[in-house]
Amino acid sequence: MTAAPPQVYPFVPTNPVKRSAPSWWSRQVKLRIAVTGPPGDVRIIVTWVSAVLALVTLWFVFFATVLSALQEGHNQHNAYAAFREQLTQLAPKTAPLGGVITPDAPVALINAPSLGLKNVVIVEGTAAGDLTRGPGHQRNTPLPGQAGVSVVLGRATLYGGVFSQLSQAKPGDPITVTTGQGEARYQVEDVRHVGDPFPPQLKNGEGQLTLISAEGGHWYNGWRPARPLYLDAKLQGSAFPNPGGGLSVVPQAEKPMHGDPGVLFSLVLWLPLLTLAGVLVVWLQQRWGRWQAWLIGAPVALAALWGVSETAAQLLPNLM
Amino acid sequence: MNSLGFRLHRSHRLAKLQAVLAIGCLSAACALSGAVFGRHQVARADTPAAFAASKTVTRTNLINGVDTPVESRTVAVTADVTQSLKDRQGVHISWSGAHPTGGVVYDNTSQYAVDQEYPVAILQCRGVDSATAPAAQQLTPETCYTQTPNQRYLPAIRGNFPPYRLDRYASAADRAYSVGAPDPLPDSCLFPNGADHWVHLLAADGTDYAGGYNGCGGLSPDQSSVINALNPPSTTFATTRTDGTGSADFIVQNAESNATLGCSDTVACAIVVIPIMGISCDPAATGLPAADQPPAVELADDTAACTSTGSFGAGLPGVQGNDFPSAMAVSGQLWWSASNWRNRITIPITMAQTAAVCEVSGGGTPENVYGSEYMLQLTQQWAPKFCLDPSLFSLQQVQTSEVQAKNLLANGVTNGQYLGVKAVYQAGPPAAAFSNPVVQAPTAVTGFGIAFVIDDAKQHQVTSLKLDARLLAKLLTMSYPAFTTISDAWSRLPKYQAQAKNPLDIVRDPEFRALNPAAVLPDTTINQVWASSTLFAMSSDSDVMSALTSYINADPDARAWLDGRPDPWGMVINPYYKGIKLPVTSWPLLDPTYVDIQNNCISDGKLPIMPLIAAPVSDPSIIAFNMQYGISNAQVNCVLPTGVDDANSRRLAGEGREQPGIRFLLGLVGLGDAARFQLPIAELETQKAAGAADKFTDDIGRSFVAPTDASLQSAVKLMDKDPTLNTWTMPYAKLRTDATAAGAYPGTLLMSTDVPTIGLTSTDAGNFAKLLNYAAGPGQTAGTANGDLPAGYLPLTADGLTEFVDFTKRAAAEVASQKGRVPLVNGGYSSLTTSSPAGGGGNSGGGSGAQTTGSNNGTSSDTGNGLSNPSSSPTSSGSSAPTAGGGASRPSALATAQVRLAGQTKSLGAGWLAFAIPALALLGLVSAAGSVWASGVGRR
Repeated sequence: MTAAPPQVYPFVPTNPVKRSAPSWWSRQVKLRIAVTGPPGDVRIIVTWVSAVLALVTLWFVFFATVLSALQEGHNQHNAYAAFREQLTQLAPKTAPLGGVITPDAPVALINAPSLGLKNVVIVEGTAAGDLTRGPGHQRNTPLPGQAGVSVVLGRATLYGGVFSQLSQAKPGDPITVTTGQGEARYQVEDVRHVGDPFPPQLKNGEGQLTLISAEGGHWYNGWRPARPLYLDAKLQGSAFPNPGGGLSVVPQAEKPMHGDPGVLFSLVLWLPLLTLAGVLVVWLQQRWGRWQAWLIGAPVALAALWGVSETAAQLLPNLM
Repeated sequence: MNSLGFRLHRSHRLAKLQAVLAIGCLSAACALSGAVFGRHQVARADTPAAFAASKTVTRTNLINGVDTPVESRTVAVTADVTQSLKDRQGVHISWSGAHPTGGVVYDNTSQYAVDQEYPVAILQCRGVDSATAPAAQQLTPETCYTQTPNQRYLPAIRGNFPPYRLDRYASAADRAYSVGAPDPLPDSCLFPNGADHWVHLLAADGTDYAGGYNGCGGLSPDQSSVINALNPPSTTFATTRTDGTGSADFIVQNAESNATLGCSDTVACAIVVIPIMGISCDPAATGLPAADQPPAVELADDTAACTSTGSFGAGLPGVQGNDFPSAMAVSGQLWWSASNWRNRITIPITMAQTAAVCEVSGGGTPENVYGSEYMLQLTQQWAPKFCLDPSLFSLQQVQTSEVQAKNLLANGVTNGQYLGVKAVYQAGPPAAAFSNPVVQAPTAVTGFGIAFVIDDAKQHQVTSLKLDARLLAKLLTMSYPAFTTISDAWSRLPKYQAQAKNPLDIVRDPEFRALNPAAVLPDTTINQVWASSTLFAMSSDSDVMSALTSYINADPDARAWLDGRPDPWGMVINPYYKGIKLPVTSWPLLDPTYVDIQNNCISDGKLPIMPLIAAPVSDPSIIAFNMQYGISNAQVNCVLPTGVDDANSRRLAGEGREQPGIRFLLGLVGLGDAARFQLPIAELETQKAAGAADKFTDDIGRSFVAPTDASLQSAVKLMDKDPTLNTWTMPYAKLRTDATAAGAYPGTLLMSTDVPTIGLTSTDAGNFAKLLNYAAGPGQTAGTANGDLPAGYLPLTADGLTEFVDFTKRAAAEVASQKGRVPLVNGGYSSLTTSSPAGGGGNSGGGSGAQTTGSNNGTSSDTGNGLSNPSSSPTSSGSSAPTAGGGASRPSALATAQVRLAGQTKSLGAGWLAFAIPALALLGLVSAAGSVWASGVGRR
């Protein structure tokens, strides 16, 4: 069955064609020819701009709060499969043990029932992009299980909010971290908020795990986590050897509560794509029809929107 | 009719709007992107030469039965130290009156140096040079060590009668067709022409290594067929300048590092200096078998080759490679031939007895002193005496960072006993006083120095250098971009705008050039090296870094520059170091910027580039080793250890040995190491006169001091007593202002031994008391014999330093009695203290712990900053002493306390971006509402 020929709107300002507008969208289209003069143009622009703005921002909020968790879950699933394989290999051992590890590589598995963490994969690196995959190990600290303070950052709300239950830990709760060197058992010492004193200094050969996330306060908790939250856990038993050779400094983007301005470059590439997608949708609607335009254009627009919001989300502080 | 044109016309307004929006988005994106993209010369001049001799060396041909003298010279050779030599010690040898070298190769220890014409061959040989000594102990070319077999083997590559077969002084057997070839000849040894000369190498254990081409006939384990940059040799073919003078720093080896030579305190050895004059020819070879006489057809050519006086003019550089057209008759390759061998000058040397003797003959269980590498030379010279003397004990040092060792001592009491670290060598006072009874007894005076390996524009090594505190600050703070790639990257980063204009390295810095006149500086048009933008120092916590940064901090010009003020030529500090608080015990690596320098290893991990150039090491003896051999540690070499080129297999490695002739290296070493390895030390600025120019072009009005006995003594006399810390401290601010301090070397360090006065077993206490008594008495005799004070250390018994000796004697008495009394610097004694928590709040992260002598611990010690607040700046709380606000006060001086760092967890600014989600949600709703409203209003 062929589609009805597209409605033709003669561009004659003095003869407006009144048609029933079942949808808000076509009402907008009709408006274009119904309006004359500068005031009308301003309204058109306002309408269009606010529509696009609403679409993009509401989409971003939707992405950040809902879709990012799906993405993180997918990444965790893949990382778990890959890391589990690395752990079970006898020789050559491919799970990283130290030194300079490629960012985003899985390095450890963390299990902490009191924090709601079950077989969560920790990846290397703490930039905003790394933390979209799950908790991240700060690169200039030893790996969990080794002597010294090992620091792991995790998000509090976006991308699944792996460390959202950090404040519920009680002293004495167990945390188990599995790396290529074996299983390391930690016991939670305490949760540390801003203004709390530091934990006791480590002696030679002792290990500590510090998990860092963010917390908000008052009624907008969960929407604006802005204060850091620390959890310190002490290593039980002896530490694994550290092969050394790791970084001594991490770039600014990998420090807690920092966004990654480096993604602005990618954002600059995604924004025109988004624009083109929008143009494509409208153009297709002109040439073809509403249904066809949406069938083809929606996935393209969706992909572009996803790309823009994923990249833009990395500008936000990495612990959010 | 629907046509494209009609359709376009109809949707013209729509298209215009779309276009406007698209352009708006794109320009917003572009603007956004635009906004987004917006880094005493010690012991050299003071002592007279230990060996001096001169010899007349001749070259006389025998042509047609007539002696035809070619030339005769009188060569005088001196060596600065020849007795009690230690492994890897440098001996400075200089000569005059020799034939100038042609075909010059600047790297005198490389495998190409042997091909120079008229070089001076310097070899270490085993044996005595005396015809009356037993044959087995005589010195011959077979007992002389060369690093590669090709330096003692010659095939006849041009004709059958090379010059060595026409040597008039050689024996008939040596002039045969093939001399010394092993029988049966190994398969790998076949050489096209067959005529060759093998000089065997006789090892100390009697093994005979034939050598041959690339070692095919047998190579000793110490030799190698190719010279390895990581295993630099000592066999030297030195260059004589056009005026007949020359010098070399020859590195001797004892049996521990060269078993083939086997030189030790019981095996006599010598350094043989052979000024090559060329073969004294006897082309006719009368009296020899016919086969050994050159046939008539080639006699003229062979004579010409043998009597050649060289194809390179004096001083002209040579060509490296296989086809090196130097005349064999006068090249270094024939050092073993009788004509040259008879011209040798032998310098007898004796090796010191090493601590290896302690493993054999006793001393009992060793006592370990943990601590500073700067005391290592002293311990190595005292240890053999200690373990062989029945009234003393077996002394060993475990090299550890001083700060860590003091921490271990302060926290190492278990149930009132010291079980681990019992004594520590420190190079400076602890951060806070010891709360357990520990006495800090002065043991030696030495210092840190900036060693330099610099070749000037004429490829000669620079022998003196002046540095001021601001130049040291510039090197440490990574403010020189090193390469244009990095300065270009900096110019594109908003944070480094001012720094992008900094001079590329110290050589191009006008301040450096003003202090060190241009005539002797490296030519800046030659390929620049990475190491000239940094100071090679140690990464571990160290009292030495405390002292160095205190010296820098005391200079008002340097301090102002560190706080951000540009220097008079406009150079600005690296933004990440601006305002850095000094002193620090460990220099932080603060610049995290990644710059793409087309290096895959660095790009893989997006590693910060400036710390890779600085590449500090945790073991200070590596710095001395690298300075001795001219090795740059900048980690910019991407190597493939497994041959596979992917991100998991690539590794970063140090840059390697710099090319002699264009070297530039600066390193922080101890004066003990500098004296042993013959490392030249720079003069440091001490004071600036009131009217001295700011934008100076020379050193007028500024005083510079080199480390000598006198300058160290001046500095030590100015030290203040600190009653809280109970030791002496160096007043760096006073050194700059006091009139008597102009000649004081600011790098002076008072080395003390920290020993507890309660909690040791009686054996340990007795032994450490003996150590302190020895240090206060016989140990301060300067000399090279075992048990003496080695070069690089000032005796505590020198004039005006008696208060140190007296204090150490009192300390020895208290250590022996173990009653818990500690002598005080101002007189009197203290008793057991019960005050607040332990001092020495250092970092314990990173698991570095103690190192045994000579090993290198590669872990980073900077993770301690992640200890409690991972986001704070690295120079702060980690190494400061905890105040009383931290833990509880201790009930007894000996119980361990749970030490907490002072302060509270800090907040981190999330910035306005934290508002992003709720703000965007709000904006979205408002926009949607606005859109609906606008469309509603516009409805007709």
